[in-house]
Amino acid sequence: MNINKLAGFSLGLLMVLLLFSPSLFAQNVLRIDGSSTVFPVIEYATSYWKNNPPITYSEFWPAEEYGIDTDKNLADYWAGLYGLDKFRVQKNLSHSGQGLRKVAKGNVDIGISSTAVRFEYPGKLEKELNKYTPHIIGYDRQAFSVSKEVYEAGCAVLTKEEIVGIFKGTITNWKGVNSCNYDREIQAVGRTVGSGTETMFRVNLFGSAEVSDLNGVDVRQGQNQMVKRTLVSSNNAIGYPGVEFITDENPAVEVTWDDGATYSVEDEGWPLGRPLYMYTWQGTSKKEAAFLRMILSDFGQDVFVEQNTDYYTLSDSEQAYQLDNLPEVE
Amino acid sequence: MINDQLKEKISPRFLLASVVFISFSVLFTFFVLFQTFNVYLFLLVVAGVVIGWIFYEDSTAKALLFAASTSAGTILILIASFLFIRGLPAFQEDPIFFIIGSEWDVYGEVYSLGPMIWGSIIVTLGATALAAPLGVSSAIFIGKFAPKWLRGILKPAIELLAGIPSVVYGFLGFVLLNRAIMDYFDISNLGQYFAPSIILGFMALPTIASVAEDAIDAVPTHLEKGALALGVTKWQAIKEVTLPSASSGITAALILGIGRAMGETMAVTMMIGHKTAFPSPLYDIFEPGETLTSLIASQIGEASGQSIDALMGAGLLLFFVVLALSVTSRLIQSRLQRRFRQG
Repeated sequence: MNINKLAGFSLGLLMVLLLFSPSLFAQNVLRIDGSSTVFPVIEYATSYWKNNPPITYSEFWPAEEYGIDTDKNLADYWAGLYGLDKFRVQKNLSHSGQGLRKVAKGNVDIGISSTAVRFEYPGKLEKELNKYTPHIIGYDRQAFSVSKEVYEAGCAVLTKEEIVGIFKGTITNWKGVNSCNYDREIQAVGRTVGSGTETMFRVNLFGSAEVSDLNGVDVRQGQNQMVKRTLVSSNNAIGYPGVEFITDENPAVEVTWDDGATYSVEDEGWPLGRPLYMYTWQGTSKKEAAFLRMILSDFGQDVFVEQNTDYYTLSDSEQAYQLDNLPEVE
Repeated sequence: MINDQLKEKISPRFLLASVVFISFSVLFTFFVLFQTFNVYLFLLVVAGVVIGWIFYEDSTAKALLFAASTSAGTILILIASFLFIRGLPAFQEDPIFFIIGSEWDVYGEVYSLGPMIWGSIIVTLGATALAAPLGVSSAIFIGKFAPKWLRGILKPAIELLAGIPSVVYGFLGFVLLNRAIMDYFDISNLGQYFAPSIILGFMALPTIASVAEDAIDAVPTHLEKGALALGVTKWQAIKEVTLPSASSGITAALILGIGRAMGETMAVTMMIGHKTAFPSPLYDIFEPGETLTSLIASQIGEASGQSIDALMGAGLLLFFVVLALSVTSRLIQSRLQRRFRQG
């Protein structure tokens, strides 16, 4: 037998072992998967967690500013609240549906979703849905946005009836919109059916996702970027991209809603919003709670939601409610 | 000494069989993907190969080569059976409605592929209408008329066209072509059937050109020379002798091109409007629509439960149509080759 050969193969074997070892020793990891909408918040939270800044770096871990009395590093403190050591956080970007599927299967600990689970699975029994434990960490808003040419033609305020008409196909020309003086057919841009954004759009506008006659929608796009691109490259389009995708080339319009009031996208009460969910499965473990508590705290809301994304934070009462839903700290 | 005894007891054929079995397990391992248990199975296979290599290098090498060469076929069978198992439920309830119905409503849980099949047909026909004349003409020119230096430029150029990633085609189409067509024809929507047809035509062009050129090349030169000797012009000889002889090969090229256009996904997904309804009137290529491939690509990420089944059904349909197209094309090609070999 050739001893060199044997050595070579042993080395190969060892490398294979090393390759697989992360999955064998994956016990002390918090796994997160799901919606690309919620993902930016998670990404910032995870990078802070991973870098684990010490208390002396008050720029990144301003504990004192938020009335937190500790001398521990950031992640050590939040994990320590539940008597845990700092654990690793593994995040993966996919879709709401996948996050919800994986958390139910136990493939991940937290499934992030931009839509409530009851809208994602309308056919599921209440008993099954209740196994998903929801945590709302902030709000996203979609704007109604139009092509620049449309905006410049004076179409700056739309009523709810007009928007419904456009997406149902009963209004097909911009002439049919009251504030407009623009003779051009309307191109209505929707989102992929089944996606969190589309589901919440339907719920917000029609009260239910099961609307079968949205015949006015001409184009459906899978991402905010593509919606924006379509609005910008056209001269007749309307769509509902996320607030952060509004530019001078595709301005947001104001809407007059059910109550007769006119809202701009920054106003309290803007009708096209949706909560950002983090779902745990059948209650919330200490490990999950430690990470969630960091995001739900004043510190997390400010840093991860307010400063680093274009999303909207929870109101004080909502925040208190969400924190109450987590397991008690030790 | 002991080695020799062992070698006698274990015949190479038995060893071959066991290594093949082991290789299939490896494939299976990758297929069910990295569950903890499979790690040990995988290690077992590696250990088996290591031991085999040390004691019976020749037969192990032979078996590994065999396993590697059959892996493509095995994977094809695995894919086909997976699609069959997952896609069949969609056809079971009401197969006729599933194929020709007109509604795809994820929220109402009503699924039929009619508009997407129609979309695929329109887009593929459009692409073929562009690629077929261009491809066959360039095949004739490159094969028969082009001087050597020009041929040296044209042939690689066409092949390079095939090498451009489809996402680049899709990007150009989405950013430039969609808008240009919208302006030029004064249409109110991006993402009609028309623009992806053009892009797909360019993508199918290299396939058609190179296979058709092979077919024209395969026609024995004495046929053409015989005609020339009778006093016809070169074009007459090509028209009356070469092209009819190569016709089945050219047909094969067209079928391959159609298969390519029908199966292409990325470029279409980026350009098309994803409207899951029949255009009205049916032949209106300037309406936004959806094809089978772009349906799967755009919705699989958001799908759950029943809609996954329906998408798997779409995948199954697409798989067999494209498979049938390429098998047909192969059959025609081999018939052509046989004919000339006998002749």
